[in-house]
Amino acid sequence: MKQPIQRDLFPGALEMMILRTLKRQPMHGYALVQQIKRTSNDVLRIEEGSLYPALQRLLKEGFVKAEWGISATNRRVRIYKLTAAGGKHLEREVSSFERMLKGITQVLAPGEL
Amino acid sequence: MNWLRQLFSRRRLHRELSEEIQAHLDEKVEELVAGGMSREEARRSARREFGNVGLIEENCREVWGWPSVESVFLDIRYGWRALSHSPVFTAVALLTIAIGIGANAAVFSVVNSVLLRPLHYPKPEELVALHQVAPGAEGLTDFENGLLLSPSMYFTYAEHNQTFQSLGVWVTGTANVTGLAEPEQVRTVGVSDGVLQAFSVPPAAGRWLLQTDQVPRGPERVMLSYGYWQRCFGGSQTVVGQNIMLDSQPREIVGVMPEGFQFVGADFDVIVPLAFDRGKQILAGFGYHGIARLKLGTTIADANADIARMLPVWMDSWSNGPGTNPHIYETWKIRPMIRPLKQEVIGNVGELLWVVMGTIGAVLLIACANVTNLLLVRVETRQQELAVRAALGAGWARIVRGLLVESVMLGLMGGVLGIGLAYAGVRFLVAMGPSNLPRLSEVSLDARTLGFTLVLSVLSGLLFAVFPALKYAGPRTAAALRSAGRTMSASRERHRARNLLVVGQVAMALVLLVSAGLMIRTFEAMRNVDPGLADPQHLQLVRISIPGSLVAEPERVTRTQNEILDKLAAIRGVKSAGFVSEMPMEGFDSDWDEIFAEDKVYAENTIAPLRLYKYISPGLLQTAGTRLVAGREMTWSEIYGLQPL
Repeated sequence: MKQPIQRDLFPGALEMMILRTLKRQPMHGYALVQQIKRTSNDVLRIEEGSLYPALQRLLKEGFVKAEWGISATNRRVRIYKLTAAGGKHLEREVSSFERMLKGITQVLAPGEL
Repeated sequence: MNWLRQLFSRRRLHRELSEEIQAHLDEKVEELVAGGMSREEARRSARREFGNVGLIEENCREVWGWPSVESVFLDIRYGWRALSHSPVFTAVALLTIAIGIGANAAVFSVVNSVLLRPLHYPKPEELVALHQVAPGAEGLTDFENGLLLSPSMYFTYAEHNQTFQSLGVWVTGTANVTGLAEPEQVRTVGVSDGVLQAFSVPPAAGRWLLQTDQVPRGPERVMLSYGYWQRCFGGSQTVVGQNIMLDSQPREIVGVMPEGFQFVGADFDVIVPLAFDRGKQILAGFGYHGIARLKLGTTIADANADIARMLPVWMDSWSNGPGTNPHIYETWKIRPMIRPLKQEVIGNVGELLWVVMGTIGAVLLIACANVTNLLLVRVETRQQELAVRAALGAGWARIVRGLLVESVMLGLMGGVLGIGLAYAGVRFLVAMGPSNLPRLSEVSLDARTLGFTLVLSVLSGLLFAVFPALKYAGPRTAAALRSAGRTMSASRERHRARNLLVVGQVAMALVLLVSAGLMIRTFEAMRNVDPGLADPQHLQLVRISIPGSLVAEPERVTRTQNEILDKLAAIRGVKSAGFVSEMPMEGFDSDWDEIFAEDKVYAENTIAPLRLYKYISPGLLQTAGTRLVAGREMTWSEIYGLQPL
């Protein structure tokens, strides 16, 4: 059994992080994983492979699009890019996530108990 | 169409995915190697961090996959393999299903053609039969066919109605055709004006009989049926305008009705105009079937009300001769009971057909139960295989689906075989030609029957998968693995399903047996009815009519009949001969009239009870072997002497 704390936190979280990362700049799968790991200070140690089904889902929804290109290390890779619909979706998701987080934080806040 | 494109670009999608994932792994390995790891270790580490490549690829594909189409394909392949591994089981199961479904498809095609499909006329829903009842009429017991129309009724209805586009009367009969190859008695339909207009079926050649052809003693014109046209004129286009000798009178052929045109379920050869003489009509003469086409938007209730309104008009406008009271028919309580023409055609066969359909349905259920039983036994022997699959991680749903796919495949294959059987059966039925089944010529396997069979096949496939699926796909892997070994005998719960099935089968078989027994009893009873003739194997029927146009005087007709009989009786091997207007159980329209009994006084303004009667010649009763209660037959001399007997 894998340690649950290192897994994807809740459904949609991985997608949200992918979209957010792609918003900064288009990149390919491997770079995406490294970027997410780095920015999360390795707290979220996602299984690298789980990125790909998430990417396929986003492709299908039209939130990202992919083009074959050459990576910095001179490999033929698929480079993912955020679409306008993806941007909107990200905004919606983030705001709903923030609301949820706020709720959770309030419940967890010390003092009232 | 999006999914279609996806289905085609599937292969490319898979390739690209693999390539992408491989690139990912390579990049990772290189980075790790650059970080000082050995290549071997780096590769292992990269794999570990990536996760199960195969599973992830499958998850990716599933995102795009049309919901589990692929795995269903797999199931089908698997099911096919499983079935072809046990050919005896498959053959037995298929045969059982094919017979069950084939019988159902055949009966359904009859039900569909006879009961469900609309009649072959333009806008058949507007066509009605002018049916009437006269519950007040005394004597005549045969009110099943109601009260037919008289010519005067036809004139009244045709002239005063407000609810019909067209309306007419018709009657079947026979006529002699001479002058062609050999003399032939043909089936005729006499029609008034309005009948062909009501059917609205355009002729295949020439034109309809029109109002101008309905002139009494006018030029005689006829139409032919398609079959008669083909049979006697070879389908020649020049037939229109030719003359045909009908009852020794030349008649001009003005048209031919198209192939498949039936006269309310009756086959015919020639259509002749009735040409009623309006001036000679009286109230009585109730011998004609009425047919009409409703005006757009009128209902049968409207039409009934319309006819009811016209009945007094009819009694006011006509009479039965001087000194008679035309309103005497009020005692008959004549009431219109217009029926859709389809109902008139089908008659009461509907109920019978539904009963047959139900019976055959029970047969299919029994067949299904049989196949289920076979499947149960089979699944038992495969229990270990299923358990192994479950242990290897196949989900419960997946195993159930596998079983379902397998048995639906069985059902469908059985259905295909069944269609073949049904086709043969229907051909056989049409060839056999039971005379009391209306619309027989229309019976065929059509798209609706095929659809019905498809649904039936899938349903029965699902039906016989339910038991095995419920029983063996449950999460009892360990127990199954153990008990499928040789060390344990069949558990009690294994027997429960089979017992249930056997009970069901026996119950249904019993129902079938009882109803079959009842049917046989009915049939026996019918066979035992005394038909009023003896030794029917040695009776021969010949139909003869002497047209009035050939021999006009009544006495000469009688003499001719006498001579014909004498000549017939003189033929070697003929013992005796006689004439009768209608043999017992022939089902023609009988003759009937008022019969007054001498010792009874009839109140004024009533009609004496109507009784059926027959015309017979001397010698008939002896020939037919009819039992006389008392007395003797008439003789020819008594007939020539015009003695009232």
